[in-house]
Amino acid sequence: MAKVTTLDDEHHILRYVPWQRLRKDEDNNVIGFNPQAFELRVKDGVREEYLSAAWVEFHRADSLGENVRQTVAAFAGNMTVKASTRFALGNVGRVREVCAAHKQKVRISHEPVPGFDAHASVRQFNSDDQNLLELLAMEAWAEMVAPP
Amino acid sequence: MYNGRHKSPDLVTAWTPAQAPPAFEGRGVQTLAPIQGGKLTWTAADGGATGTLTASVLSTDEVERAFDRLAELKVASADYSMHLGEAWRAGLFRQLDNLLDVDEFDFTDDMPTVESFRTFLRLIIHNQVKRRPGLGATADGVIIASWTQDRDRLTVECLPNDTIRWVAVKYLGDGERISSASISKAAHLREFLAPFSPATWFG
Repeated sequence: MAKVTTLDDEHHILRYVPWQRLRKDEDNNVIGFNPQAFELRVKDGVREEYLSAAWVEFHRADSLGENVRQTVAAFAGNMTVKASTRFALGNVGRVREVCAAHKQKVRISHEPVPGFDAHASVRQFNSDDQNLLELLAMEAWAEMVAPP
Repeated sequence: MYNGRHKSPDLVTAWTPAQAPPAFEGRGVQTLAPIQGGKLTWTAADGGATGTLTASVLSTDEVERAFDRLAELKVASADYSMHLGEAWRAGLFRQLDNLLDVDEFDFTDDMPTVESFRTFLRLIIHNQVKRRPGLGATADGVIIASWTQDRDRLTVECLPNDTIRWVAVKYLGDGERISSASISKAAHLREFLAPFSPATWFG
């Protein structure tokens, strides 16, 4: 079993956001993320146990920008990343802080999975709290990254 | 690496290099591997270097399902056309086309359901909404309607049977952030939003 490591507050996580969870205006311009971008999915009646993301500093590059670029490339090697796809970049400490303010002590860890070494998880996360999801989408996990 | 989805009328017969997606033009696609798991593996000479490229391919089933669902949603709106107005409905159709664009839509999700869309339409009509919202969808096919005015945001999930789940955020003049979230019947949203001055979003 791969080693699970708690991520430092100053590090960052990147989450894939599909086209249909991007926030748009009435003219279809992409303007941000909808809160549901951070919702645990229910598939075949079973809810995800954790929120999936990638640990940006896993790549150990010299700058955050380069780490983000390599993380996006890692996603692209693992799944279909289309031109319309966006990624949400968040600071680990800020995400923890916002969740704690909503009475959720989340665990944000590097948790590699087969084929995706940079994979990270946000566990002990309850996505039923719409106010929390909105705050993540708008402020705490809201920096938008586009694929190259 | 080409990661876009490419529509093909025939996904059973192996493609020839001449049928490569536009992203491969001028890249000298040389050989094709068999289709596996909805993907094609291409070997290409790209600027002198040879590499393996993977292209995710839409199945004809996905294309047809998206086309059919789009048609179902548009037909469902006909029941409410007299309340929506021609320009509003035309704009809504452009948004549905955009949301269900087969080149963009993530088909690991369910497609937006007609039941959810009917709740959306009744939300618009009963609350006398003049300004169209942005459209999105949850992983299980629930339509998301969102209004954004500067930092003030209203997001509504349109569940079946006229039920909505919503969250509203507004910033007051002194910068204080107020928010509220609830589940209610679609017809009563404007009343629930009264403290937030819903005209900001609805027009």
